[in-house]
Order: sequence, then structure tokens, then C-alpha cells
Amino acid sequence: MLSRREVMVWLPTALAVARCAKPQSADARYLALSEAQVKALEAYADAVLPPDGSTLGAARYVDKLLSDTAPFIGSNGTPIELDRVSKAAWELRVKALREQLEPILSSGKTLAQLSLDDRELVCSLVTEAAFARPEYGGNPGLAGSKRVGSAGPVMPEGFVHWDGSKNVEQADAPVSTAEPGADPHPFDRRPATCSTR
Amino acid sequence: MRQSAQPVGNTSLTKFDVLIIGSGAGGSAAAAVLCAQGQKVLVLECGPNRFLGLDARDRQPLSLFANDELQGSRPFAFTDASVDPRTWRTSPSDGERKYVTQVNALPKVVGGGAVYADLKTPRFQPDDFHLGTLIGGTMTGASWADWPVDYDMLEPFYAWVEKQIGVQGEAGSSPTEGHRSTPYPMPPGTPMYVALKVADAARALGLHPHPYPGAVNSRPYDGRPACAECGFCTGFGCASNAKGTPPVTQLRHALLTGNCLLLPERKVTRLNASNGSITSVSVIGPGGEQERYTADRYVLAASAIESARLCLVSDNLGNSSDQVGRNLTFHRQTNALGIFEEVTHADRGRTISHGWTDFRGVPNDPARPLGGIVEISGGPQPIQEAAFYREVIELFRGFSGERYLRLLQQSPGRRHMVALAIWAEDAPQATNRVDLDPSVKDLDGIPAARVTYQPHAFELSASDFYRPKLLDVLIQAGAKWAIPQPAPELPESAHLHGTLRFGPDARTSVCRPDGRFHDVGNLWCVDGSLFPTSSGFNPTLTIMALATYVAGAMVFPSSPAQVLT
Repeated sequence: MLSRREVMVWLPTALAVARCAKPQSADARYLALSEAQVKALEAYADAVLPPDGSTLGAARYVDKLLSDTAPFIGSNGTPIELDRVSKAAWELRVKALREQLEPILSSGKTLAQLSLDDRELVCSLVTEAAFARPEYGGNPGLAGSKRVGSAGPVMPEGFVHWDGSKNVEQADAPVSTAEPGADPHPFDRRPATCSTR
Repeated sequence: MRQSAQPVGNTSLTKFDVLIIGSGAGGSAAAAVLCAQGQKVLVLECGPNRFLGLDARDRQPLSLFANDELQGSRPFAFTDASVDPRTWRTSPSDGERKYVTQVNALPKVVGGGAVYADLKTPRFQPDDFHLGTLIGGTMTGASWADWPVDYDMLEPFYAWVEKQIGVQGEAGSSPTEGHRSTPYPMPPGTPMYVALKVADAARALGLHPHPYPGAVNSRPYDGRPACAECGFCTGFGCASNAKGTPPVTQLRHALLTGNCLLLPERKVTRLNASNGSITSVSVIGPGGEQERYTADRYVLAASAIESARLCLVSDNLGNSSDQVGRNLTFHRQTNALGIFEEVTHADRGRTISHGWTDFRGVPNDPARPLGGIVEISGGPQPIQEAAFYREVIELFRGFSGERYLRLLQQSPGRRHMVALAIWAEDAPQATNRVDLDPSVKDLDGIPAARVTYQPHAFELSASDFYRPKLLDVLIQAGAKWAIPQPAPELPESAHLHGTLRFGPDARTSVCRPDGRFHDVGNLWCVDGSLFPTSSGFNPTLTIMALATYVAGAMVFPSSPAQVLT
């Protein structure tokens, strides 16, 4: 039987889990971005990481970033509320981001035409979308992670498990031995362009 | 009140024997000892609590830390310079400051910096406590000093802490380690392939690599699971509690005694003193409200920069010697990267499973200058990796999506990489210090800590001496490219020491040999601020052992080790 205090501690978590579990439809409305901004962002995303048929979710990621008041997801899948100081920092960051991003998205410029700072912002946002946990709006089905050979931010199985008496490594993804399969993206065989010493 | 600010522990306590400021490595270690001895302890932590059920007796706490790169880049636990700035200059000739930024910031969260560390826990070596005697008089510009405790005094405290937090390691594997009264509580965990590969090369060159001691479970321990080697270790809170961080070990032990109350999101802004004693602390609460707390005795455990800052904003408390904030030391990092043709999958595992101590050197031996322990380290996760590629692409050829994607897929900086890092001794200097910035303030109007720091020739020459040797090891291991990493202008080390040195002489130290302030009768320090010198090893275990010793002295002044029985 849970005590009243334990109920008070765990109840918000349970409610948040329930809220998160509600499925979001693929065409759910954007909260912070206009249709034109979504299109501009998706075009930039294709320029940063050329498409392979899967989506990176860049627009959905940025929309969530700009509209979320609880910008972190806990290990249990629930949003984490920010403390007083972090909240102040987050609000400043989002305000600055919005002020920098809006002119970029309405500029009509290609990625190459953007200033270095603006291009870095776009590239970093698209990259975060591609590789962050899917709960943040991007990387749907870990599509971005898989494209670069990353297991992705999966929770928290890891590469080794304890079987009751010893540690057992994943056969296809070992920690202590060489990779069993061929490298899908080996380095070029042409001579190195950097010297070693 | 939000969950992260809720009181944890015995909420019926209203009168406290000891008030501890900070719940990191030092504060939690002290709380564990004091509470076990029946002291009623209040722990104030300025950061939020990211665990559910930290004081639950019947189950392990639920960590809210996730395998989530964004938790490292968004303002989740690390301070953000926009609201909690620090300033930096190399010397007064730079003017009031050179930068306003995030300077050597440790996470502000229940458990402190140790929560985000990969929690490597080597002990210091016996010589490390005597460098004032061994090299003190031979060097200009440096302020070497002996510790008022030595290895033999601390050894039982090391052993105690290793058992409390659960340390894995292999006794006798490092040729330079001091004697041990107990074996490691756990054997080494799964070795990383990249570490074994480099260790073989190091061995071929006459070095002595060994499993790196670390507070990460290699098997179930104290109710916590074995590490799953998920790869999110350095710079991440542990999602499974396999990492023996202060909240799930020492702080939890303290909370379970019934003698401890933890109040998160309480930022201490001032120590109020009268007639040489602290009478209360002023606090800003979770909603910005002003609060005040009292106890019979007070303990500073806010880290070397913040503990000194707190003394300075409290009307220069404890500073009759003008030593508060001085002798700030980091660890001089010397880094080299190796890129291999084969996949080293260094992004798996607990980041570092092996290292060697040969580069720690010997005092006054020019053939083996005093450096530090070497870590064989893995690569970053993809978002951080990608940022590096963008810099390189923009610098050399201009950005191209095709090149960017190709680099990310080839992944030289993650799947093919090894990083070697030396944590070398940083010569203490009185001019390297923390003081208050004259005009930059934090969100609450408290003066920012200003760091004035420049390296000494001592650590620069050691770095020059050992850097080529790192490259030799990488090449011997078969690296296609071996690349020395340039040192950044601002040290990136999160190892912070000095600023409230302890010693017998009130003219040259801030705290007495038992950790109590010379000037303030009821104030102690238990964090890295006490360190007279920085050694060449990760400091967390020594901070914990020293905090245990100081807490022991608070209870049994003439025989602190009684708390270990």
C-alpha cells in the first residue's frame, strides 16, 4: 500500500506518462512554425544531410524546441520541469533562437548563401533533430541514427548484460573485441592527406 | 512545488547539528558519516533533484537521467552563462576580465559534478601528499605545500569510501600505487576493445597499463545493477544507477538513517557570521523566495570555485590570511587522438576502462617529469561528433551536405577513434585565484566568480615532454592518424582544487588540518578547495576520503578513524 506521500511523489509521473502515451498523428499541427517556415526548414535539412527517403524530422524537432516549456525528457519518458535558474536560461535561449531563426527561414537563401553563423545554427539544429531521442520530435524510428551507424540513444540496455553470474556482451555489437561485421563505410583507400607526426 | 525541489529524507527534522552546503562528492560523503554517527544533518543543494524515491527504503531510486545527448547541451544541469556567469582573465594585465562565459563549471544538481563524471576513482600516490617538501623550494612562482595528512592517514578512509560507492579495479596492477588494506570491492568490468588495443601497444613500449579504477558496478552491488556499458557515461547522468554517484550511494545512505533532510533548489547566497561564528545562512528558495537556515555547525562543499565565492560574498569570511580563493589548481590536460582504419567502436562502454600511471613521473627527475595518469578514452556521441566535423569542413573546404554525411557515416571521430588524455599536476600559484568580478552578476544579483589563471612552466614543460610519447603509443597501436590536440586557452578540466587550502599555519592556509576554518569556529570545508596540491589523478575519491576524514574529526577530534568502525 502506498503512503499518501509516495502517492504525491509518483502521481505526477504516472499522469505525465499517460499524457505522453497519447499517440500524436503524423499531421499534428505545428505550434511555433508556420507552413512556410516548415517548408524552408525541411529544404535546409535536405541540404545539410542529403535525403535517403527517410525523414529527419527537423521541422517537428525545431517546432517542439520553440514551443516546449519542459524541454527535457526523463528516463521514464516523462517531461522534466526545469528549476528556477535553468528555466530562466532556457527562456533566454529560446528567445535568442527565435530571433536568429525567423529571418533565416524567411530569407529565401540557400544553405550555402547563409552567413557562417546562420549556417552553423541551421546545421546544428538539423543534426540535433537527426540524432536526438525521438521524443524530442526528430529522428523518427531512429532513422537518422541508423544512417550513421549509431545504435542511437536507446534506453538503457547498453551493449552488455548481466546474466546472473557474469557479464555477457552482444555478439553483433561487442565491447571488448573487434567488430564482427565489415565496416559499411570504410575510409578511402587513397593516400592519407594528413601526416602522422 | 515541483518534484525536483521537494524535500527528501526526514521532513520532521527542524533542528540541525550540521548544515552542509552542497550535495556533491564532499558533501554527500560527510553527510553519510555524520548521519551514521547520529548527527542531525541538513543538506542544502542549489540544483534540482533528478531522482525519484531517493529516500525510499524498499526500492532503488529512479534516475531521471536518460541516454540523451541533449541533456548535455541544453541547460539541464550545467550552469548557463546567461544566468550564472563566470569571468576569466589570465592576469590583471587583461583588465577586469577577458571573457564572460562558462568557466570550469560543474553541474549544479543533487550529487554535483560526480553525477556527470564517469567516476574514475584512482587513489593519490603516497608522494603526492609531500610535494612541498619534495619540490617546494626549487621552483619560482609556485606555492607548493605539503598536505597536513598523508597517504597512510587517508588509506583507511579510501578503503571505506571504495566500499561505500562500489569501486571496481585490480589491486597491484599499477606499479606506482600505494599500499591497500583491502581489495577492490569489485573486479574490473568488461574491458573496451579500444583500450585493450592501446594497452597492448603501451606495454610493447615498456609502459604498465592497467584497469582504471572506477565507481561503476561490474556486477550487482548494494542493490544497484551491473553496468550495461551503454556508452553514455562521461558527461551523462547514469540512467540505471550502476554508476555509484553520491545521490544513490552516500547521500542515500545518509537519508536512510532518518537523520538527514535534503533540500534541493536552495541556493545559499551568504554565510551570516557574528563573533567568529556562523549564525545562519541566507538562501534563495525554489520560487525565488528568501529563506534562512541555522545549525550548530556548518560545512562548505560547493566546489573549489563556489565555496571560495561564498566566503568572499560573505564579507570576506575566513580571509585574514588573504588566502581565500588563491592557489586554484586544475589538471593540465594533454590530449592526443588516434584514428584507426578498423572500427574501434569506442563509443560503446563506460568510456574509459584502462590507463597507465607511468607518466605521473617522479619529483625532481628531469628524465621523468611529474605529469599524471593517462586515460585511454572513447569517442563522443553523434551530435557532439558532428559539431567537430562541421568545424573541419567549414575550415578547409566549405560546407557540403554530401561531405558532412560521408564523414558522419565513416565516423573517424567516434567509431574509429581513441583519445588519450593525461591529467597532469598543475603547479599551485598564489596568483591563480578566484575572486569576485567587480560588475558581472548572476541572475540573483550575486557577484560572479572571476577566475584569474595562467599555467606555470612546470606543467607546460611536462606536457611538451609527454605529448610525443602519447603519439608513439597511438602509432604503435596502429593508428592511421595520430593527432596532438592543441590546449584550449581556458582549461577544460572539471577538476577543481585549492582556494581554501588546509594546513597548520593560519598565515598560509585557510583551514586547519582537520578541515575547520582557522578564522571561523563552527565552519568546515570538505570539497576540493582544501587540496594544497592537485596531484596527477582524478580527484573524486580523494575528495570523498578527505570529507570522510574531516567529518570523522568533527565527531571524534582526536581519532577521526573511529567513524569507520
